Amino acid sequence: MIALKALLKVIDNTGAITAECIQVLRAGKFASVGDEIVVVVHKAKSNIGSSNVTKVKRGELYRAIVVRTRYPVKRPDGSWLRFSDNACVLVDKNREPLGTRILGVIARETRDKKLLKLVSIAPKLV
Amino acid sequence: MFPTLRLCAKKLLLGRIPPAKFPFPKPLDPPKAKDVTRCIEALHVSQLETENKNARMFAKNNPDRIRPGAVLMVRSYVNGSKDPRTTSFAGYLMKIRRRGPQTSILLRNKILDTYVEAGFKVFSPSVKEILVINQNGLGKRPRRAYLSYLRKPKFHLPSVTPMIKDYFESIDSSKSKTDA
Repeated sequence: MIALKALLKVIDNTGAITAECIQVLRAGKFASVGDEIVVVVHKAKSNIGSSNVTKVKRGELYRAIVVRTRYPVKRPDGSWLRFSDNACVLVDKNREPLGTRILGVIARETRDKKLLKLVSIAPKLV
Repeated sequence: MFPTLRLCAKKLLLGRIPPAKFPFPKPLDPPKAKDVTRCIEALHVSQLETENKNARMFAKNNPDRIRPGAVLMVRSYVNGSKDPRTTSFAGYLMKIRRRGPQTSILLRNKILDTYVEAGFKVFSPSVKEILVINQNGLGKRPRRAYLSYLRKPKFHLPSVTPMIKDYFESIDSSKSKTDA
């Protein structure tokens, strides 16, 4: 249940550490796993190792896809999934990840939302 | 004089318009019990207890039932039971929510530095099987039915993966022993 002012952990290698949600790009107030949001980078690493990744700076606006939420994600068979934190991955306007790696688990709902590039670089789907 | 006139008119009316006899259907038998939904639920539960293999695992009257603190692995179908592909989730059993056909379990595990909790409906047809990796994964018998304290950093448990590895290795070794 990500809304305005929500702080999310950024789990890709763009250099951002935390991002604050400023807009939910769907009808309604809350974003769940697989939804696109607009974020402001709250905290970022000062220098990044790989050069082919977009260098992200504090205070910059980016689009992101929510990949983990504390609020449980319900599945059609009645099962549900809850993570211990809220996490997102920075993306561009075409919903392609800005980073080249994802560092952590991701909910399987991202595959259902046709975010195939994101899913392909994810280390583990739950 | 007047009453007889009235009677004649009545007879005339009766003759012209015969009384209609609508063929009403016979009323249904009333339900045997007052609360019909309870009866239907009991029927479902008895069906599940005979057909579903997960029923005995969580039945309250079974002395060998699974208790909170166990390590379970749930294998569920990804795209409905017609597609044989399954996904698995393993974790420590935190809670058994007994609600008849909607009985569910709550599993908790640490996956790649994040704690993940998943709830599964035990009698759902999308749940292929529930494997018992460990009858008691906590060492000590937990003195709670709902192990919500596992969420606190002090009681954080390690990932269940090494236990699963050992479980499957022991199965393979026992298989090879029987083959040999």
